Amino acid sequence: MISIIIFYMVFALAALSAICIFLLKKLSYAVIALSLVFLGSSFVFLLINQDAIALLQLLVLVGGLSTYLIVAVSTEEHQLALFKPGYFVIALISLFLSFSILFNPSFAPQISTEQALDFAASAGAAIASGYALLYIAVAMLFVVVIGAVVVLKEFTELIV
Amino acid sequence: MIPFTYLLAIGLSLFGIGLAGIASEKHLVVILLSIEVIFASSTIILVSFFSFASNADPSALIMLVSIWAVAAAEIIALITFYVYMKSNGISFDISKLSKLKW
Repeated sequence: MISIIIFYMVFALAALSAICIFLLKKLSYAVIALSLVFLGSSFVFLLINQDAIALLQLLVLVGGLSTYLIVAVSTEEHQLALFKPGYFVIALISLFLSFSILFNPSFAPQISTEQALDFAASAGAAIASGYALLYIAVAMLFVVVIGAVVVLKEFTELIV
Repeated sequence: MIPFTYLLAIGLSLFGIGLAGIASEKHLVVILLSIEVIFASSTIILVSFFSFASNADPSALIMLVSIWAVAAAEIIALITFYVYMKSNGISFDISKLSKLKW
């Protein structure tokens, strides 16, 4: 029971700080909100009894990535005008859907957990063991090469 | 202790919030921060599936480390663009970055 209360608190921390990323006016505050999201995600890993993954999440993402981001964007003064309110509905709809699954489990698909996990395992095996991963990697590399050529062409025009 | 659907719920909500951030923001760096939120939600869902499976394949942990490596490398590559754009006075507003638009 106490673990579910703690889970709700961690849920609130992660969701509120994720919303604060695009609600706060200053960019450095948004980066701090992102590191709070990673912290909340690390708490979720602790609640599943995966302590090694929680520690790695803290070290790599919070300690390394967020520190680098905060140092890199700390010279920015203020950010630009904010969002169109119509698109904010996407976040609220996803929050409402997730809460409806929490409070009434019959909204979720009526298959057993074992069936769902076996399906996910077979899907993961199909992606990882076949050539699909290689195709995806090659396609991404192709797009990156084309984008780099175009961007370099534009940047040399700006320099010259 | 914690039911499986609760973890799927937090993954789904973080994914939706990151998606709303990508769709509604005009500042380039905030869009990238929302992409990082989506990375975090995908790791939560992956680790919850790995933790609740009866015969879990340890390749899920390798995929997790790969996701972390991709996220970190992406941030590092994009911060170099950030420093370049800031030193050359290029605006971060995406409605003004329209040279690649058709």
